[in-house]
Amino acid sequence: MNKDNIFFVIPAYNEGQSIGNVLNELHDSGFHSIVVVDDGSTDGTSEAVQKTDAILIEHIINRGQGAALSTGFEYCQKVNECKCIVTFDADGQHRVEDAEKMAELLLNSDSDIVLGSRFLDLKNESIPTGRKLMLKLASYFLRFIYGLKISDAHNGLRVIKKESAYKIMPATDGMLHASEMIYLIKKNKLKYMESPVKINYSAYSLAKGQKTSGFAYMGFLTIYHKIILLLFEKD
Amino acid sequence: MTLFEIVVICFLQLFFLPILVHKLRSRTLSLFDFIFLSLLDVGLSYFLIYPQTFSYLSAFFGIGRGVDVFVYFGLITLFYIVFRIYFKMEKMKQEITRLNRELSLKNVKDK
Repeated sequence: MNKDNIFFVIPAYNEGQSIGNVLNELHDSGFHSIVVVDDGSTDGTSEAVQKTDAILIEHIINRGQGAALSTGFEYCQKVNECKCIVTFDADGQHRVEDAEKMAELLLNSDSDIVLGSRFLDLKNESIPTGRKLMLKLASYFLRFIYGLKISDAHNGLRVIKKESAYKIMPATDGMLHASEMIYLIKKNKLKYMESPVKINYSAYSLAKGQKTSGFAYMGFLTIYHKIILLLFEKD
Repeated sequence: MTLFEIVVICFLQLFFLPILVHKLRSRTLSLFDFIFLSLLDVGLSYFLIYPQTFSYLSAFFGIGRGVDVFVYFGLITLFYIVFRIYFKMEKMKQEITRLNRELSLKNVKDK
């Protein structure tokens, strides 16, 4: 596996505190193809990225994580060396070894995408109970809404083959992109696998992450998304 | 007809309708929106001149009072307008994102 062919797309919004460490960790692990999409940060995220050898794409205004990911995908499509894309969080929650394992799994299979899951083999004792419950509920909910069997909804760690990235490029700008990607996997009949991952929860990442009320809001948005699809989607 | 009704009809026909025509000519209003808003304009004037029409309509639709027909149609119209504005807003948001993306991708410096 040539690590230079694996492109990390990291959407970042006001992650100045953590992004430097995340990029250094990736660099030390031998990954040099890193695309950071700064989604209109105001806390010096760009400056922190510029100190490293990562490619920086700067959104002029904040458009949301979905929009930032799509920008990263679009950039990767134009790079010949890119074989697969890893979506990775900027807050230090994801482990590089999990991403590496998932990339290897994808490149040695005929699947289009490997999704990270907190609820497979590895024990994720650090997941707060409330969050664990919410994530489980969200997974069942998405299974019910979109009909795709996944064990972990809204896990930001995914590895996607370059040619499939366009097919799951979210049209929604905000956090709904995670649900939309699940829907697009189902719609485009993409082959997917799940791989166990461990999440490093820290006070910083928990403060930045989704709140319980956010899950309820996401549920509402997902239902709305489904209604819009039922009304306007062309087969 | 009361003075208030005359003022409203004059406003609709002499002020509002010419604005719609001007907007259609300057292509800032689609033909569909023009037809919809003109019908609203003419319809409102008609009902002001012949308010008893509401009673006929209420009898036709089986709705109790004439004024209820007005309220129901008003609600439907408002719903339609909100729906259209919402979709236009969504489209605009998508266009802003696209513009943002194109600009950021143009300015990217490869290392």
